[in-house]
Amino acid sequence: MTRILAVILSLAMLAAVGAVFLHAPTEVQMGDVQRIFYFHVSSALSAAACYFLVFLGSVLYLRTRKDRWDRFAGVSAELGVLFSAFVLFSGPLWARPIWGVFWRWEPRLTTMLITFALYVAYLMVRSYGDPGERTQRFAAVVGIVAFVNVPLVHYSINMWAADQQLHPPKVELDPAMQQTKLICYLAFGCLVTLLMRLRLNQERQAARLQALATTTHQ
Amino acid sequence: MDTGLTYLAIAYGGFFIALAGYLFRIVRRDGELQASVDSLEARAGDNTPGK
Repeated sequence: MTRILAVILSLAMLAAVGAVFLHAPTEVQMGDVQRIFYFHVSSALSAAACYFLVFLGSVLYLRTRKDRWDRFAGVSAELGVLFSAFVLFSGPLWARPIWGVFWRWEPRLTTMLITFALYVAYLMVRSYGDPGERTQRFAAVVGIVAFVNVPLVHYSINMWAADQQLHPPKVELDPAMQQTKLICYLAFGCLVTLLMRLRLNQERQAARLQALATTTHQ
Repeated sequence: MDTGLTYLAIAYGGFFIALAGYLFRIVRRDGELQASVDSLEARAGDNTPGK
């Protein structure tokens, strides 16, 4: 199954890169740098989806106290942080030639940075806490609380005054751009699924090994 | 080279380098897990009665 997913992902990524550079037209005002948009937005959407999975895993862990939900939340957070890091990396690269600066403390950028920091903190709680139920419970609570910030990132454009915004409220796309965006969403969907699967299998194996090692020592 | 193209190249290059790095980390962790399995198996072999 993982191999099939890897093949599908490779094809989807090739299609996405091909669409970004060959199919999508060059934006009239921004020029070629606008092509960052496709992976930037797909990463942001993937990060939001991963953060929702952290929330879901955390709620389910608190309800059932099953380790698998804790692992699920942890892996989702790791991927969310990875995709958010790319959003925070590619955004300034896009902003520099368009806005003239790499960074502005405008609502969307600021809320995105806070969200990223919250999930890095979540991963630190998991890494540095003593292994056991207490840390899992604490991490689950942080995972639920941190999710409050995710809708804020999305709605920051409407919630703050228009004169403080640099992100446009609504983007009208050419049909070829729209198709490219959808191909990228599909490729990123495959990427998230494959990475989740690989990391969850690993974490499951690690947990089994840990249990086995404890038994062998006794 | 156009500045926009440079930033575009850095963004996409950065994405694929980060992805490769993450995949490398997964493969390395796989290696560590396999090493743990081998060591546990060796220990279990040593503890087999008659050895």
